[in-house]
Amino acid sequence: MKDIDDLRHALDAETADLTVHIPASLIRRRARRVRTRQGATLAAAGAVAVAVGAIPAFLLIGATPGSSVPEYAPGAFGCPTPTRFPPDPGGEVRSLGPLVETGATLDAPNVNTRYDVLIGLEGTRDQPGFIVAFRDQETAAVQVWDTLGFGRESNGDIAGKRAGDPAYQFLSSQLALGPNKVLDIGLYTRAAHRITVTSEGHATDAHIAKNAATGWTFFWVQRSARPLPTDRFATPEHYRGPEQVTVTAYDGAGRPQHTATGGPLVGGSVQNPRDGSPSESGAPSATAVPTCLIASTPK
Amino acid sequence: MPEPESFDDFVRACSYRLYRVGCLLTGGDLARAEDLVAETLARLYLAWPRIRDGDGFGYARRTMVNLHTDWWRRLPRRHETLTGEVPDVPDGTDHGNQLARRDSIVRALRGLTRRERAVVALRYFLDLTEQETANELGVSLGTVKSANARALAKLRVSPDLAEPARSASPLPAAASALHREF
Repeated sequence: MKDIDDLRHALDAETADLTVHIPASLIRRRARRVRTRQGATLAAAGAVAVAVGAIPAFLLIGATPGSSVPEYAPGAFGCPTPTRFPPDPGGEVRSLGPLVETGATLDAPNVNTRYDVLIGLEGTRDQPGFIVAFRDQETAAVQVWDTLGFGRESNGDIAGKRAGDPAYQFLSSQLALGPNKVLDIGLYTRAAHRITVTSEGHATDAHIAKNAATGWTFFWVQRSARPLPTDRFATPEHYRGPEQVTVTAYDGAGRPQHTATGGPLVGGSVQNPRDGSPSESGAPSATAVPTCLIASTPK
Repeated sequence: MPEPESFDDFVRACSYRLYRVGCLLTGGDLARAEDLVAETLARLYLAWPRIRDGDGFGYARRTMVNLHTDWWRRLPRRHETLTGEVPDVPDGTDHGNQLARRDSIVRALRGLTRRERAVVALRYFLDLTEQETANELGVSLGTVKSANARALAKLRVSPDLAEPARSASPLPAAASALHREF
């Protein structure tokens, strides 16, 4: 071996005759196991936090800049008490505040179950993960189905994927609740007085709640709109059709602070129990009436 | 999760390349490399709806490197099953010959640490820059440079990569100079 080119050639040549076939069924089985492990880890972490009484009321509902805000208390406002983890010691992931009720309900006829949709953050302040969890309305068991991890810039924004990439102020995902009904959920990396979600030319005010552990603002809104097409990821370009989502945050004076339309972090889908296994009906069913009122009422 | 049709296409298109990277990362442990690829694709499957910028391979590559770096903590323990039947059947392929051809660089890679192997695979198989390699591994540029230098130093003196003896070589000094290039 004489030089770098020789090394490159050897690395290429000596692996060129390899053959591999990994069945898609194996990938899916492993993916299910990964998801189960992730959920179990989070549940265990929650158990630790509950066991040591280490969960202060991180979450403040209806936060507005410069004003005192009511404290979020699980079980208040007529909402069912969220997220009680089994007392299982151990775990690696820290909770970043309790899960937040979105008030949305997901019908999953494939598993004959109706779920409440919850959102939250896990991980650490600098490496948080945005999670979407589903609570079985019959058993109150909470399953985390979707976790999106990312880095946090020193100014609080979401770090880009690589060094030098721009930072992001919004993360927004969409769950289709019916043919013309969607739930948009996400977070804004600053404080906001008001956040709107827009598609097909119609803007809707979202509920907001501040997460004190990160300083970020959760938002969520159910609205009548056509869901983003399920095949929108099939092309390398970002989807730009009329269902494309725009998120805008406003300050107390009504001035827009930031806005984002589509892109890598706006308009993602939500993994969920309904779409996690084949459904007989195929199409998402219409959502039921939300089971709880939300403290922060949209304007 | 609504599964984009293109995921299967991606798997078909990229499994082979990922497997080659896995082979280099694991120092030629093909079973572990296959396991690594399968776990990587499972992670990718879960994240697929969000990977919309067309860099699915980059995501998979980063996942694979991270999994390999932290292999024993992240992957579930594999359970072995004893059986009296041997499932393998000969297919006529000359595996001995294949192994012999592959053995030199792979055996040399086994003499490197995991990080050094990862640096070599990323730098010289995937042709990433030093900065890209640093980003990929989540380490500083200086760490990549030093790991790279150590890896090349080890490969340079690896008996597995030694040139065949050239008793009649008229220019031993020149050959030595070439060696110093890497």
